[in-house]
Amino acid sequence: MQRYGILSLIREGLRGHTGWEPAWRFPEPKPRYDAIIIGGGGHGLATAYYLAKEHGLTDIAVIEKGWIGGGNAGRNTTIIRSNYLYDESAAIYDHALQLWKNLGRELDFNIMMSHRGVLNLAHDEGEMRQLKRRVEANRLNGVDAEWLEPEDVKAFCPPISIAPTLRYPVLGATLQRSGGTNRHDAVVWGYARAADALGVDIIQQCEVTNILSEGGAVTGIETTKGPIATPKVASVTAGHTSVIAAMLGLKLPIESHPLQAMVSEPIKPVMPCVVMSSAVHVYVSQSDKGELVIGAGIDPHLSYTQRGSFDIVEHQMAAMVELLPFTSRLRFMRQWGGIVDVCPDASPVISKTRIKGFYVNGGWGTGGWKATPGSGHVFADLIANDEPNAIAAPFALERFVSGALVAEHGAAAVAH
Amino acid sequence: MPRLDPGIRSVPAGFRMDRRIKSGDDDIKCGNWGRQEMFLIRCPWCGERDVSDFSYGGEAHIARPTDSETMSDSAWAEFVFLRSNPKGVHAERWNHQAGCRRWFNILRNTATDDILAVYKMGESPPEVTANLPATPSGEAAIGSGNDAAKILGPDETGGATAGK
Ligand SMILES: Cc1cc2nc3c(=O)[nH]c(=O)nc-3n(C[C@H](O)[C@H](O)[C@H](O)COP(=O)(O)OP(=O)(O)OC[C@H]3O[C@@H](n4cnc5c(N)ncnc54)[C@H](O)[C@@H]3O)c2cc1C
Ligand SMILES: [Zn+2]
Repeated sequence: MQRYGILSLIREGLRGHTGWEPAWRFPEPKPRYDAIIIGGGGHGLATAYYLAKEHGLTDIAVIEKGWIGGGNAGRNTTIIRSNYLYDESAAIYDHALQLWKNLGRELDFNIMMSHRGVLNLAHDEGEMRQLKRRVEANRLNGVDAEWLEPEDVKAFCPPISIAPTLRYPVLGATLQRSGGTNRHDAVVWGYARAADALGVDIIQQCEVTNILSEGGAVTGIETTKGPIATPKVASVTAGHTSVIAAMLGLKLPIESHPLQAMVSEPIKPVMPCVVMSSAVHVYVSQSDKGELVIGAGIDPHLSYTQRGSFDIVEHQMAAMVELLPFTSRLRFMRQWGGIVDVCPDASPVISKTRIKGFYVNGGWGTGGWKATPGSGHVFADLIANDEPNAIAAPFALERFVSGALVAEHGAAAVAH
Repeated sequence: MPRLDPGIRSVPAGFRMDRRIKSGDDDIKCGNWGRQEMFLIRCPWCGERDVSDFSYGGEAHIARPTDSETMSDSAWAEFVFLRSNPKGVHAERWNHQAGCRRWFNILRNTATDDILAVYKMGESPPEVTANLPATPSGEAAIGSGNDAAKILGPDETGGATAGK
């Protein structure tokens, strides 16, 4: 793998940038692989990278129907935090957060990781009590968390008004200083480049159209580029998880919904951190280009249309202006949607299935970006060893039968 | 021949699917955008209203089990949690919450949001035809940006994305 850095930049600058190598290959699929990962989003590419790097499984392929990072990886607002209430969630999201810290260096790719801090605002007594409880729970799990009184909120994030006369007064906030944002494309490209260098075939514009099994065990897949034999198929397809599972006759506790986001015209730096408010229902950060990045809520109905309804945008703008009145004259440049895979307990599925050799990683819903490295890391472990490790185990499908749900709904504030 | 969207199997029996692939139709690419800008639902009692008038009630025709005392945990899990979630025709319940507050069913193509039929609670789904994506997780002609661009390999040229 060609190293990126100041020396290569100078060298290439001096010779007219003629020596850069393509960051990954465009291979044709081989007739057989040791394992196949369906879905070239953040989670799928991370899974491939850790399979190759930590488990020595290099004869593997990532099959992506569009281009890598064209799904939710390329559509999300990249809010990263790990301050979830329950032990199981804290374990996996904090595992991811620890990996994020060094990921740019590990992949030799600038992922623009910015630990700028995430504020979750409390607007009423009930919310305040609940968020304080979450701070305590986080601390017990070793997750970085603090409670800020209104004056400290103002000092940390000046554009927030703490006037007590507001309709939604700010009574305080939780702060996770290690939370923040990063650059979604860079994460995708960084993982792709590193996985490719380890021998992983990344096959784009190739849709998996069927999964073949014999006697309850996976034998291969059919794709728009022909059949491929393999004993292990791992689905990491976010919004399409149910569609993939249905190829083997499996039904999942997942429903797919549109989720929208939008960005404003670029303005000078005003938002020093990520701000989330579940009562007003808005979450906002500012990109390095200066755009305010705003996420909305999901459309309540199931849909695969990747656009979302207009009333959701309207509601989002109203919430934004309520929380940050200075944004009322801002113009918005772009709006888009992704399809998120929502589980009834708002926690993911990382699981074996009753079909031998078929593994599912999905159900991350509206908040899986932050988990990308952790999700890929524990899923690779599950695929390689055919047994979940301690972090992945609580997220097996069996929890919907046993009732041991990881019910983060409501517990985790705005779910991003 | 691409096979039918696997989701279709889980839609209650009683109606038939035709796969007429529309991607590539010029009228869809340029002419019909306006039709798609609002999500309108026709309440069987009040008529057409914006989706914001309604609340979604989930997948239809999931009967509450009658043998709840003797049922296995996995049968319960199936009833409470498992959903067909098809990319294709979906039978679902809606309530006209900001209007007559009555419940009804619709059949909707979840790949395009086209509403194919509206029918009353207790009725079985009517026969419909739908334009489904050509492959199980393919994208619809309208409303998706995920397969709009071709990726160029290092040796390929052409198209709007060719400039290096
Ligand atoms: C608007 C929006 C905002 C969000 N904001 C946040 C946030 O702030 N913080 C956060 O933590 N999370 C956020 N999320 C959620 C996060 O984006 C997802 O949970 C996460 O990206 C999902 O994992 P992924 O990157 O692997 O998914 P994707 O990038 O969607 O990858 C799945 C891939 O599978 C491919 N695929 C599907 N079917 C097939 C097939 N049959 N054959 C081959 N390939 C197939 C798709 O083309 C796609 O590329 C947001 C999501 C959206 C939509
Ligand atoms: Zn009505």
